[in-house]
Amino acid sequence: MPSPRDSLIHEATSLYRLVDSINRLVAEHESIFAYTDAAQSFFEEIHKQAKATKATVSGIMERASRTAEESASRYLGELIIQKGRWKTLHTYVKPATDAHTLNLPVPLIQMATDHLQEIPGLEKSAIVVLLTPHLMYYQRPASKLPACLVFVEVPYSQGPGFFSNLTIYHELGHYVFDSLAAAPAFAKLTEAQERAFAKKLDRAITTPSLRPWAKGVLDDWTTEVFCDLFALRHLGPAYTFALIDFLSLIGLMGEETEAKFDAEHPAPALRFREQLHRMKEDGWWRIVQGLSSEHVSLVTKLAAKTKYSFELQEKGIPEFIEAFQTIIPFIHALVIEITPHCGTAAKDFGRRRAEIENCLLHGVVPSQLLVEGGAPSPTPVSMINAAYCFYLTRLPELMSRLEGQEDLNLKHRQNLIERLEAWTMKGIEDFQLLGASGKNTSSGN
Amino acid sequence: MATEDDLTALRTGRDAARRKPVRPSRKVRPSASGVFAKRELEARLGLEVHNPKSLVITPLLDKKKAIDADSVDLRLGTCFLLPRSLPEPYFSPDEDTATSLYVKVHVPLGRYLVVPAHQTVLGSTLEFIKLPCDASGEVLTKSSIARTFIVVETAPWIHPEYRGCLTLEIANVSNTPVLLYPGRPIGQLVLLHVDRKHDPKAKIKSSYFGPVYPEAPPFQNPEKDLRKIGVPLTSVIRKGTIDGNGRFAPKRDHHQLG
Repeated sequence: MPSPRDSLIHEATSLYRLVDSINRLVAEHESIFAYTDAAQSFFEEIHKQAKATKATVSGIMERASRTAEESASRYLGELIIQKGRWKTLHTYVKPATDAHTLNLPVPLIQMATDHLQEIPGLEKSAIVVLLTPHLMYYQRPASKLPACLVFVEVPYSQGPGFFSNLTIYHELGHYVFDSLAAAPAFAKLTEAQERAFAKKLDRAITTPSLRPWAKGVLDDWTTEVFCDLFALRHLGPAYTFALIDFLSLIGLMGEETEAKFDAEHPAPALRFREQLHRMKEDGWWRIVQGLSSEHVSLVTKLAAKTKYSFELQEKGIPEFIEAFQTIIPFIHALVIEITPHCGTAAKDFGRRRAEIENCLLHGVVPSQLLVEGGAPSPTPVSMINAAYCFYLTRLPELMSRLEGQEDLNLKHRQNLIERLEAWTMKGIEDFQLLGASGKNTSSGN
Repeated sequence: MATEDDLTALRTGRDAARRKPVRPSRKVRPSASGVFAKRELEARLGLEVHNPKSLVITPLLDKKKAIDADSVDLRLGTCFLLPRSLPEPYFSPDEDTATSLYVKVHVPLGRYLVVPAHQTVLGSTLEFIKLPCDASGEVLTKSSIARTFIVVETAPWIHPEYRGCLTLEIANVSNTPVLLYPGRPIGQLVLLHVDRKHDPKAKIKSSYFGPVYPEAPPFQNPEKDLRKIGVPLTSVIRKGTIDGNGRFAPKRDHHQLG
């Protein structure tokens, strides 16, 4: 049986090695790759915490060496707390070091950061991307890390791409919802949730232990629709199109599941119904509804569904969905209230779409339209939406103008889509650059 | 917005509004020639993008200063391809070139890249360019840069209707490492008239179409290229192995025509 002091030395050494190894990994990557400012802040925090932990561990060892052998065990608890903290940090660090600027759509991340910082109370927020092996987007809480850092998991295969990464706005919605839940703007929504529960579910949930779970389900559905509408307010229909593409990629757009709610997500049909409603209200839909694209038909088809189901142990509980339907108008109202800066985006898109698409058709970056001293520049959001519409409807037209490109050749299509994404990103980057040098004549939305 | 007449007037040195009727001549009209001057550069930049004679240079961060009497300043972009140290003792330009010869590096604005003495890197212009159908372009090193023993471009010719950020071969020919800052002016674009009409039916070349970063050349395997001119047998070396004595053992191969 090892003595308490031996155990302490062993534990302290292993923690010291773990921390040093993580710290070195970060330092090595920093010396090779470039990172966004937010990732850089995260790495500085890691260096700071590593230094502090090493000092703490060394301090413990010193104190332990001065006390009696038996009392060494009382320091073990402190080490275990530190270990737990680093066990969590460990899961953040590698995905963050993988997310260097060559692996990310940096102009999109910058644009999303700017959007986030326009929301009162979130002025200091900064997005740290984590590239993960999961084919899923996810927002991770900043446990024991500065709360202004927004950790968004992005599948590594989608890292440098553009269109599918528009769905990170949904994840930002989760951050906003969690961060501002106590803000006065959320009070009406909270009341609506309580009212809905009391009116529709109180009698249906007879088992007391199920009540917190039931409230959690309503909360999760509310959050999901909030996140969709938050993303849509900022990105317009490009978000809806990106969501369809991503859900299709991971096989969640099947006919058998489209009207089904699960304990965490409302049915896709309902989510798209609410997105369509928002698009109509914000003036986007009249511009894109005529697109000859399966995405538009799909949204229309899904939104027309009126029957949804939610089952618990194979038994339908329609009261949940009825309760949720009464909450939805309050979600719309809340999203509008916290995103007043998004009001004119559709108007700009309607005005500038044709000329942006014209640039793309001629293989030219749309920042060409950012004329110094001329008409107001098209916004990045307009560029993104025009590029997405172009991608959905006019790719064959562009291919027909190029030598040796076949519409049905997947390699050719892939190359051209990557070009289209690169031109869109370059357009946004140029917009940001011209904004920094005071030369563009439009706000960022 | 400039019109076709304005462009003709600029080329012939006359103001279109003051043009007097001239007697028809049987002589062939001399083609426009020479370098684009500032007025023509500005006029071409003002044309709509679908006009084949339009010139695109974006972003033009300091338009007044960027356009000179006969050239446009170009800035250094943020992405680079650096030569990689290969495990093999040679480099063969083939289909694997893009992945085997380079390391891609991003240097954000505000940071720098160190180019070691006597080394060459591939960079690109910050500006995305589309050339008119009747102009070729030449990229020259900015004189202030050249005087620091940095040479930009060893293949500086740009064909009409090219579009994309320009890939620049940037060589440090000095004995000292030199810092390159993305965003700083590095080259000059000079446009020259080409006696050529736009063919609306002609297709645009798809190789090097619209890149925004420096790009590796799209080589085919040598046997494929040489077959086209009837070379029946080509010796190629495929990736080799290092033997137990640390010696490189290339895997030789012969490809026969047909």
